[in-house]
Amino acid sequence: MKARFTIKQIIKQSAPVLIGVTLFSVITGRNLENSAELVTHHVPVLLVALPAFINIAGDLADVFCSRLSSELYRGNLDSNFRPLRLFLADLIGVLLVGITSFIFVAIFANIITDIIFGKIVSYLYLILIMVTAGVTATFVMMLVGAFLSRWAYLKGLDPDSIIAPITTTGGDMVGTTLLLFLASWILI
Amino acid sequence: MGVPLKEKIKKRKKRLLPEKGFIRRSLESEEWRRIERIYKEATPVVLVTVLMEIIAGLELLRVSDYYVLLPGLLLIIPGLMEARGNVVTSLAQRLGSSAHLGLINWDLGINDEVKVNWTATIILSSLLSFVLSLLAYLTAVILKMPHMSFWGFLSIALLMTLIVGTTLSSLTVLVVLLAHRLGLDPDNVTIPIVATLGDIFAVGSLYFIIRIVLFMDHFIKII
Repeated sequence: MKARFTIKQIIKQSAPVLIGVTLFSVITGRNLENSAELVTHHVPVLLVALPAFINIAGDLADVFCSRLSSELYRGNLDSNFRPLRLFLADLIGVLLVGITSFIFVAIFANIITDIIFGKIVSYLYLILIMVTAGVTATFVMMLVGAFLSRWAYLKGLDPDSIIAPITTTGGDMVGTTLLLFLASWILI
Repeated sequence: MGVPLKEKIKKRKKRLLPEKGFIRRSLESEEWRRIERIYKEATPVVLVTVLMEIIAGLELLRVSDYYVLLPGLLLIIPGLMEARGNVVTSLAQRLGSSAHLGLINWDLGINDEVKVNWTATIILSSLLSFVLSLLAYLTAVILKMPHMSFWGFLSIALLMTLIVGTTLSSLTVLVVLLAHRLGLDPDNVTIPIVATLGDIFAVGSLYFIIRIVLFMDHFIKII
């Protein structure tokens, strides 16, 4: 059976996005790392939680976009994401996974921090901050991903090759920025 | 005489409240089943990956002591980790769509669709390794930071592609095919699994990669 795309097509579509997004993330990520160091110095639980937290936001936006592109290719959704009830069901399903996961990260990271650093913050505040920052970042990146998927699909490009780097990196950045902002506002 | 008040209230209630059996019907609807499936399949995977990510993050803090052995290493590691994550999630998405379209499955094995996507991923990883090495080297030179040679940066980046990139791409293929075979939706489970495995492999392999580069430096001057 012949492959959907050739190696050349995949590279041609992916390379510009991958190089652009990676360079952007390396350059802007450095500033974010400096801010993160400042906040984690005061709130060590964020040092423990941050790697898992930033991954969830990006991963869940990717899961949503991956489902979206599969449904576009299968013809279950049209380019305007109709029927909208399927689009919304996916959106709600992924956000519910996000809420559960962010609560879990907050609790588990606080327990680990207690064991290692002997310093914890209020569970309620931490859960509130993580869920707010995480769900907002995931939701924003899901919408960005949906918009870009539609654009790529209508242009005849493969959304799978283009969207993942943008949603992963965007989820990392929006999530980390929101988390650091809320943490420095509420916890310090 | 007008309609009695009791009747009026009853009518209004009927209008405002959902009909009898609404909740049951909603729970049996296609949309609910869809939400339920995403939640049931993705949540356990994401929760396990959270545990692994937290442990990998703590391990990264420990491995960071080795960064001083190779000057300028910190300039390239975050970029390499980011690039690897981006490349492999794209592969997972493409293979997820291919599985839904019936182009790949466990019985078809390693067919052209798998080969093309796997090869493209390795080429993209190598290309990004080259770009990131050049960027790290130029940044160090321009900012007059202590650094290794361009070949040192490139060796680390290519070794990471060789060790982590090839293993992870192969595992992505395996996870997609296995998820599909087990009746799970590859779109729900593959990305969280491979993204986390990628971080764990990257952290785990860093120590060895640093050691290999230091060993190679005895024979060819690369640092």
